[in-house]
Amino acid sequence: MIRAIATVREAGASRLVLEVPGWPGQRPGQFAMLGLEPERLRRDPLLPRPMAIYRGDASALEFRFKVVGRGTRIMAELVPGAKLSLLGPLGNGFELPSGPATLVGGGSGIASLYELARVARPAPRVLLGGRTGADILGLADFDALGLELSIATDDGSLGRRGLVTDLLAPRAGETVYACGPLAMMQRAHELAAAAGARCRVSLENPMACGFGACLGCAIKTPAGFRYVCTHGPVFDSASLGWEAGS
Amino acid sequence: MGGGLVSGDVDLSTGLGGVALRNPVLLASGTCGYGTELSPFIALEQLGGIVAKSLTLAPRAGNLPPRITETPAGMLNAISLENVGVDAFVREKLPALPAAVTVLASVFETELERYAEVCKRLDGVERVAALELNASCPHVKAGGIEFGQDPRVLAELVRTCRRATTRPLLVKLSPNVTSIAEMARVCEGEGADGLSLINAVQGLLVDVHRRRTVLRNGLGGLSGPAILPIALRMVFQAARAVKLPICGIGGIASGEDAVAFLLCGASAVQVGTITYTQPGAGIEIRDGIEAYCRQHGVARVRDLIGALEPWPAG
Ligand SMILES: Cc1cc2nc3c(=O)[nH]c(=O)nc-3n(C[C@H](O)[C@H](O)[C@H](O)COP(=O)(O)OP(=O)(O)OC[C@H]3O[C@@H](n4cnc5c(N)ncnc54)[C@H](O)[C@@H]3O)c2cc1C
Ligand SMILES: Cc1cc2nc3c(=O)[nH]c(=O)nc-3n(C[C@H](O)[C@H](O)[C@H](O)COP(=O)(O)O)c2cc1C
Ligand code: FES
Repeated sequence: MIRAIATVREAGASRLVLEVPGWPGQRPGQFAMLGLEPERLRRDPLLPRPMAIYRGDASALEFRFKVVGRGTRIMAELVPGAKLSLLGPLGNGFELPSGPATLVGGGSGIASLYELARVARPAPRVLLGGRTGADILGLADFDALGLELSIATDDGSLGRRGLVTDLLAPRAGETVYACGPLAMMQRAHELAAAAGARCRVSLENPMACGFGACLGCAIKTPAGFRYVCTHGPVFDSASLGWEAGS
Repeated sequence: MGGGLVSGDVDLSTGLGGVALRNPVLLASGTCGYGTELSPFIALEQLGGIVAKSLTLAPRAGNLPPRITETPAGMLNAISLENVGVDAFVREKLPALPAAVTVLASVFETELERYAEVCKRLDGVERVAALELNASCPHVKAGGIEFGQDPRVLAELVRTCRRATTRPLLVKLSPNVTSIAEMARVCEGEGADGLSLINAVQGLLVDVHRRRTVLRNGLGGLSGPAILPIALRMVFQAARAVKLPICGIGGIASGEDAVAFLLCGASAVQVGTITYTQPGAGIEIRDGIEAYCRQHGVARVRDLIGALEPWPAG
């Protein structure tokens, strides 16, 4: 894990490519905390933002994101040469599947799955969903992996019209990996459980620190509070108390 | 002012009610966990010390999420003093810290006798350099702030805990009071060794689209740079009201912020929320104080305490 000042190499509406000195590499599903004010002259926004590591190596680190508020809006307006502070890689990441797997990504959650789609063997099936076609982050990259890929959009502008979970038909013994809106992950969990499949979900809760100091990212589970930054972000879906609303 | 001090000759040492500190920068309770969470990023022994997460008699679960949210230049939290309990702290958390780290323990409870019992259990623990009585958590349902808002209740709390421990006893005050000077005097009168102020400021945010409070708990505690002027004002007023040493807390994000607290009368400072933005902030702030001293020809950091210059009359 490192703390570094990263330099923006490429930036776009939903894409950020950083140069990070000494980047040690990551496991699929790990994340980084991106601080928007490394010089801390402006202290607003104050807190760093958790972002899944889309892909990365020593030469460049890439993030894909959805603009939802001020932090991500600032990220979308960054220009090459701008500086960010970075802490990562953080979190447990996905354990690699030992057999067949289906990846289900919705909205910004898609970004958490690309690295897993790339390295999992045998090649997993991938289901991606968004409100419209433009919301499917990294579509060309997933396409280039040459695996079985299906799309669903709310408005039918790309792939099938409907929810991405409508495309999900888990088989016994496989592993479902899901990242996206809570309702989507809950549906994936239910379908997997009914089919006798394992299900891993990656949660996207707001965070303050990202390393276990603030206890702000707590989720309630039947076994008590767990912290998304240190116990997760990836959880066995069966360990979460979906009924209680986590 | 003349500069010219060379590297290494600034004396950063200070003290807080009988606790010697190698420099004035501590990490604030609740923002540095039990220390170990930060060890990968920062050499804790290079700080003045750390104040561990507030401890209750039994382990305590916090509020339901969402428990944090961001505000302009700050954050609002309602963690509600989730902690492992005093015994697990002594057994598991303390031994995991390097011996050179100065550790202060923060005490919190919902009833007087329980406060005293936590103090007693920490009294014989060698690694604990001092106790900080948290009389000021802004968002727990019972206890905490109630102890810090009524001068008579605060007096009883400090008196009870004073009897329960021989350790240096600091009292962490709430900013959510009408007169901080009055609260400071109460603590002095009951034999406290020092004051820490301020805890987070009570606040509330609303999600207008869902027409409900952003935090599940409703109320939260506001912290971060947004509260710095409030905290400075309170340290300034408390320092004029009592002779007790004061640990200044609230929104510190740079060496210069910390110096401002010293000038207002603080003997040391605690750094909280900024640690989330910058895990190494404590060390950077210590270095910033040192750089300030060098720039202004200050040989001993203690010379800054209360050294605010008056405006000329007229
Ligand atoms: C481990 C992890 C990995 C993540 N990876 C990605 C990623 O790769 N790409 C990506 O686009 N996003 C990702 N996120 C989510 C991302 O961190 C948030 O969307 C971002 O912090 C929002 O910041 P903001 O300043 O734009 O929004 P804010 O101004 O802070 O909030 C704007 C609105 O969005 C809501 N909001 C804020 N954060 C979240 C959240 N985490 N979930 C749901 N609603 C939220 C707020 O309540 C508010 O209504 C990830 C989150 C986690 C925990
Ligand atoms: C997430 C969080 C948890 C906190 N927990 C505690 C606590 O357990 N005990 C305590 O005395 N203060 C607690 N505080 C208050 C801080 O110690 C500090 O007084 C306050 O945040 C103001 O300082 P800052 O602006 O530098 O953060 C907490 C603050 C935050 C942000
Ligand atoms: S984000 Fe601070 S503990 Fe998880």
